[in-house]
Amino acid sequence: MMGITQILYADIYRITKNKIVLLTLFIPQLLVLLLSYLQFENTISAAATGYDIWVIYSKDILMVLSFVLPLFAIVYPFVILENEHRHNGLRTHSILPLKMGNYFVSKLLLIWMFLVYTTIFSSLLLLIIGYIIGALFGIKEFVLYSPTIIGGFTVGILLISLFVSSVHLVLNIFFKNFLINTLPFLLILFPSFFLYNWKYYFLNIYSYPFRLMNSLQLDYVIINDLTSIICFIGLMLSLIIIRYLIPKCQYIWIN
Amino acid sequence: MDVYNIQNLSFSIKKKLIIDNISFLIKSPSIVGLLGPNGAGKSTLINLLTGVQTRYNGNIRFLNRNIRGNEIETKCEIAAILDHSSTYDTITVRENICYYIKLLNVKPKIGEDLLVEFELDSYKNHKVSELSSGYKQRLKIVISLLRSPTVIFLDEPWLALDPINASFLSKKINEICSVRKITFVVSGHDLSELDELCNHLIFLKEGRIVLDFYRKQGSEFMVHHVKKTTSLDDRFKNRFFIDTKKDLGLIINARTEELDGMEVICTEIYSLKELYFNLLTN
Repeated sequence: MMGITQILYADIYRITKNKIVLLTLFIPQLLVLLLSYLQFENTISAAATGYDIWVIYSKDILMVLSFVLPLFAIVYPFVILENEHRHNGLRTHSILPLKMGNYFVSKLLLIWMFLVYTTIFSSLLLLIIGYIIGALFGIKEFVLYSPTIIGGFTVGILLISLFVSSVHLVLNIFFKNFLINTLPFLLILFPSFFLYNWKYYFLNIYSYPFRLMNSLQLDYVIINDLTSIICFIGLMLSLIIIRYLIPKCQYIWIN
Repeated sequence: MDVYNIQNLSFSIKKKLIIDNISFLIKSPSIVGLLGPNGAGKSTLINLLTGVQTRYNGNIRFLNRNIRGNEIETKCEIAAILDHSSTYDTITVRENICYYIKLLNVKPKIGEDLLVEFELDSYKNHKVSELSSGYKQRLKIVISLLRSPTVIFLDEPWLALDPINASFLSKKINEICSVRKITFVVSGHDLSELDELCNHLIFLKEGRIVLDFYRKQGSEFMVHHVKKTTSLDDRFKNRFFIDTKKDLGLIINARTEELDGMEVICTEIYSLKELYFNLLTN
């Protein structure tokens, strides 16, 4: 029987043949480079004010990333599952000697790998550029202050993105149509920017990244926030659903 | 050897009976043809036999073990090429093979040899979307052979194939069956190909088996058994064979004799097309 590692290994092989998907992995890093360049003047001039230089330098860049990374968490499940639906992959794989739960978990792990890669490397690039600017222009605040905003953002946005992607994987398994499984949620993502302080903000998972940005700027710890608890519990639940419950519904795509 | 022993198999979707209390045997190696009009239950039967669909009543034994509860073990021994594509058309032939080699954990050499055997090696760097229907079908067979299964299910394999590719496919199925001792279960509507290829034919109508018979190589049809419960109409019943599990090949000659207390009459030998229309048209 094929285990998750074997399925994941084969999935990675196949997805690396899709050059467009591979290119999207570098979009956040390109954004970081571009925005760092645009922030350059501000950063240099703000160095003398004595504020936390990491906040001044990275705040706007992180704000953009807090929009882009959840966007990826919505789009990657669509790209991966759409390819399966188009080639009747669910049905084809249901005849192979594998547990469908492992097949879906493999897809989830693949999406998570993409998200972890884009998030970690974007944050690392942000740090590296910050230290390089500090070294080149003798801004010692880059060393004096610790980059907690970037660290907090990375952990927080990862948790949120992984949860959002799990929800979208489930949606994409059951619904093939982009107009149903992806577009409405992309449209919700935009207004969510203004809804992070809404009374019932916890109902809208797409506002979590913006709430995260707000909390980081206000300097309180995101891990105590309700969003983190919801994301963590949601992640665990979605894993159980994907691994154990969804394979029991396979008659939907068999018939 | 019996690869499949199906007893009293029934299956319904939303209270609609799709497979209605059928029983039959599949011996190895053989090429079994599943015939029937659209909606007769052929694809559903394949889903049941492959262990994909498990909510059925009755008993399906595969290699002397019940497939319910042994779905993964069953799937290790079978391969299926269903009505829709099972290959990824945005990547090349070689990449498709490599994907399944990694997934199934088989030796790459097996894939390379099969590509040569099916004359696909010169197309290995072509995207699957660039291949003709015939070559796509060959690729699917190559993928199904990677695991050396005991049984391969083919759902309408000749669909959209030109006569040259259809003939190539039939020749290969025959060759694989006789050389590698792999049993094929083929469903389809191409009567001439099925006639040429199959040595065991099962006629399905509205989820029931109306005729199940074996054929000796190069000879006319020989009925193995037709169950009492079959829905042959009276006109046909009088002219053909009636119940027994004995081999009725001997009574193919036009004569009447008593068998198990029943009068068995055979006045004509039908071609597959005649049989199909007699049995399956209303």
